[in-house]
This record gives sequence, C-alpha cells and structure tokens, in this order.
Amino acid sequence: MEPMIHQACLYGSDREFLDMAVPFVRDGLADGEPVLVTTTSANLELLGEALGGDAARVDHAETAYYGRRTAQRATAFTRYWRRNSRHRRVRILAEPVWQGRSARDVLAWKRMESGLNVLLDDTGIWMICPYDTRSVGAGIAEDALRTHPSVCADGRTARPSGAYADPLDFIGRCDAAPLPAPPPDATSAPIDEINDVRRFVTEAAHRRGLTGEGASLLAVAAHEAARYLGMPLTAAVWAGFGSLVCDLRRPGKAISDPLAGFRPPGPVERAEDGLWLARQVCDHVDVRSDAAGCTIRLHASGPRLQTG
Amino acid sequence: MRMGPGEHRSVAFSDEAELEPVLAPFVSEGLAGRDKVLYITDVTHPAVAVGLLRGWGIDPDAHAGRLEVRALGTSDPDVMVAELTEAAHRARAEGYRALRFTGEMSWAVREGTETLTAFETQVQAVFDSGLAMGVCQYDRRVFPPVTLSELQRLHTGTDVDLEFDGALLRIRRSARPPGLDLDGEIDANGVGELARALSSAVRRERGDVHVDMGRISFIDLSGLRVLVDTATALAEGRSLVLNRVPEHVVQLIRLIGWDRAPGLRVRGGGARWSP
Repeated sequence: MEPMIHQACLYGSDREFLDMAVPFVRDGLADGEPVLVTTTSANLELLGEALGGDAARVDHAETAYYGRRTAQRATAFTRYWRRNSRHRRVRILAEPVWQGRSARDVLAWKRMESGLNVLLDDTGIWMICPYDTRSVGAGIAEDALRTHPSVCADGRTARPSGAYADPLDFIGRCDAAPLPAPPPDATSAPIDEINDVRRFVTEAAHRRGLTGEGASLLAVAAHEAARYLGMPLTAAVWAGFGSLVCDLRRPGKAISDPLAGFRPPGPVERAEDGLWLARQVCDHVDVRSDAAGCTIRLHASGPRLQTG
Repeated sequence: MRMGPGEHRSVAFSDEAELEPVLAPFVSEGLAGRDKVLYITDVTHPAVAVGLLRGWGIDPDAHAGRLEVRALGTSDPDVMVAELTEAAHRARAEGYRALRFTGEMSWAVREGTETLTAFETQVQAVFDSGLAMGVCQYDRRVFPPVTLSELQRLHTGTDVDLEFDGALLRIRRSARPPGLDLDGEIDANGVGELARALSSAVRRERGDVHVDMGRISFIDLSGLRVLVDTATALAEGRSLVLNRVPEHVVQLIRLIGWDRAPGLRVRGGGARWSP
C-alpha cells in the first residue's frame, strides 16, 4: 500500500483545472488504479470531454450529493477505499461545494479537510482537492494551504505547503468558539437512565411538530450520543430555523478525540460507532469539552423540511 | 420474573442452559427468603441436577434439609400430588413460608396426555392453597408442540414460547415462520437476551430464521449489530430474515451498509417509534 497523499490545487481557470485533473486521472487509469472524481457538474462536464473514451472508466459523483454533510463525505471516502483496498493506490479528485455555504458550514468543511489527514492516514488514497479561486473566498483558499500537506498544479508533482497546520491544532481552532447557550424556551431535564433519553427527546420533538421517521431518527441519534457520552446527563431540546436541536451535557466528562464518529463501523464494535451513527443521521453534530464537562449538540432537520 | 406462593408456571427448554434464567432465581430467591425447595427429577439423575444447581451458584450441601433434590418415585399422578401436598404442609409446619417445587415432566410422555392433564389440574389445587408454588419443566425435545401449547392453559402467566420477558423487551418463539417475534425496545438492556435467543433459534431451525420486528419501536446500534452478526455467522444458503422492519430502522441498516451483509434479508413495513 502506498502512503496517503492529500494535496490542494488552487486553480483560476478551466485550463488550470484540466492541466491538473487530466494527467492525474490518466496516470491512474494507465496504472490500473481506481479513480473517483467528485466535483461540480461543470467540472465533470469539462473533464469528461477532455478524457474522451477514458471517461467511462472513471467513477464519478456530483459533489453536492457525494456526502451531503462532512461526516457522510468522510465515510464515503473510507468506503470507496475499503471497496478498492486490494489496490495499492486509489485516486480521488474531490472538490467540495464552497459557494453559498453558511459560515458554520464552511468551518465544518474546512475542519473535515484537515481531519482527512488523520482519518484516511491508514489508506492508500491519493486525494487532490481543487479550489476554484474564481469563486471561493480568500479565507477558504488560504485555509486550503493549512489543511493540505502539499499542493499540486500538474496532477503529478507535489510541492510542500509551508502553511500546513497540524490537524489537531487546526481542528482545535475550528472548535475554539463556545457553543451558543440554549435559548430560554428550550425544554430541559436531568436524565439518569439511558432509555429515558429517547423518551424525553421524542416527546420534546413531537411537541415541536417533528414526528414520524424524522423523530425516530433523532431519538436514535440522541440515544447513541448519550451512550457515547455516558449517564447521567442533562438533555435539552429546542427549535431553530429549519432545525431541531438537542443538547446532551454530562458534567465531569471530556471527549478528547475531535474526530470520534467520523470513521464508519467495521466488523468489530467500537465505542465511537454510535456517535458515527448520530453524525450520519444529523445535519450537524458539535462536541465540546470544557473544564466542567462535555456537551454533544445534535442538529436535526425541522418538521417543515420539504423533500420535493 | 419474581414468583410468589400460589403461582404455577412452566418452562420449556431445548437444552439445560435455558433452564437457568427461570430456575436459578426460583431456587435462590426461595433460599434467600423463607421458602423450602423440592426439585424432582425424572430422566436426569439427581446428581446431575445437583451439578446444575452448583453451576448456577447454588450449593445444595449448604442448604441440607431445606433444598431437596430427588428422583421421581412414581408415575401415578394421584400419588405425586399426595406427596407434594404432604411436603407442602410439612414445610409450613417447619416454619417455612411455602414450598417451592420444580419437576421434570418427561414422565408424562410415557404416561400420556390425559395423565398429564390430570396431574396439572390436581396440582393446581395444592398451589391454590398458598402453601406452594411451582415450575414444571418441559423438554421441547420430547414433547410434541401441540401438547406444549395445551399446557399453556394450565399454568398461570406462562407462555411456553416466551423466551424473555423484560421491562422493555419481550422475545417469543414463532413456529410459522420459524424464528422469533420481538416486541418492545432493544438497547443494551435486552441485547444479551436477544443474542441468546437468536443463537438458540439458529440451532433449533434448519433453514432460514425469521425475526418479526413489527412491534419493535426502538432498536439501537448494539441491537442491530447482534442481528447482523447472527446473519453473517450463518452457513451458506441460510438467511436471517427481518420481517416488518420499521421504516427508520430500514434507513439505519442502509446507512451502516448492513443491507448488503451476507445472510441478512431486510423486509420493511413495521411500526414507528413512539414512547
């Protein structure tokens, strides 16, 4: 197995994109390596035309749907590796959606970019992440140099990134701001027994209009997060715009691994599997430890979500 | 399942390990309390039954005169009931609250269903007096299923197909389709019982094992893992079939990727979680 490579490619034109992407993909195909391209529909079209007949041998996904949230994205990459792990090398061209994202979303995706260095460290993935400097803000492009150990312009050669930051330091800065306090209308209760967590959360969700599968999945997420956190704890539920938020706080507890719950379950059960499930089911999961205890905050889609 | 005087239950088992959850508390609660215990064997040698008790952490030697294990001396139901009545009165005279009786019922296979029904009906009168309580042991390997279900009527609160009756989860055997019916919620509290019931279902059945999930309102990742581990351990050609799986559970199974686990078949159509 080859060592993992994670590179950023800052490009400012279609030409620059293709100068990197075409050799990267073609070299992989020539060596019989699995190649996955997940980027915007515009770039998929560009690359498809440039590759001609070779495009048929490339795995592809429109990036907005290849892991809608960061934990799903990291899981998709891990699974792509696991499915192809008989190969020494697997190539992935991965360009996330950056435009139109909220500040919190941008932060979550930067955080994931940095986390991939740890999460995929034991894989043979060579990943290049293109950043379109025509559309991403300066802050996003600068942080790309902090979250990727090297940069690559031609799809072949690497130049170390001088700005690269240790992932745990970078993630620590992403998580530095404390979570906003629950609003005054939050429903809150101390809970001793784990099976009361799902009862409390389901009832509070029902009262805020979330029923059916949405409420069932939130109950599972809260139960699994509580299992990871341990009992007893204090739970709180409130409604945000478009979301239902559930806080679980356990005094005296700390969660030290900021990437817990980003690795999908394998054949052997691990403690973080439940947190992984919570992260898959929820739109966002925030974990914060401080001197007094640890909070896991789950954000689920609210009752008025329209799915077409 | 804590029992009191007057109660008359049964336990159906396919191997001795299945006796433990019922008999071990039945005997040890009696000894910890104010009851006397009589254990009557039929095909099992009394020494083997003593060994079972020891295995469950109950030392018969430490309770000599209070815990008696002996072989059945007769096949006449009238004599059996008379002996039991006498033992119950003696226990009370000795200052005990009641007699806890448990016995192997395999003799009834030799004597026939009518004798068995006569015994179970008469013995009920002894329990009704409040002097005794009992657990009748039925070996599924020797009793026809029809007889077992008829016996259900004769025992209070009993259900020969009941494998586990917990606060949140109930597990019953099902004959058609062969496997288990689950009812309630599955989390760390019930997951051990579920694993045990599944593995005995896998041993009991020859082909596919079905699990009815239609009345499961909640299952967590540890419960799902027990299901998938059971499925993947099955021999080639056999499947664990999950029927009437609630929609959100189908979604969870797909998220984890276990819908592609070898040996597992997932069919939807179950209920929603509501507390």
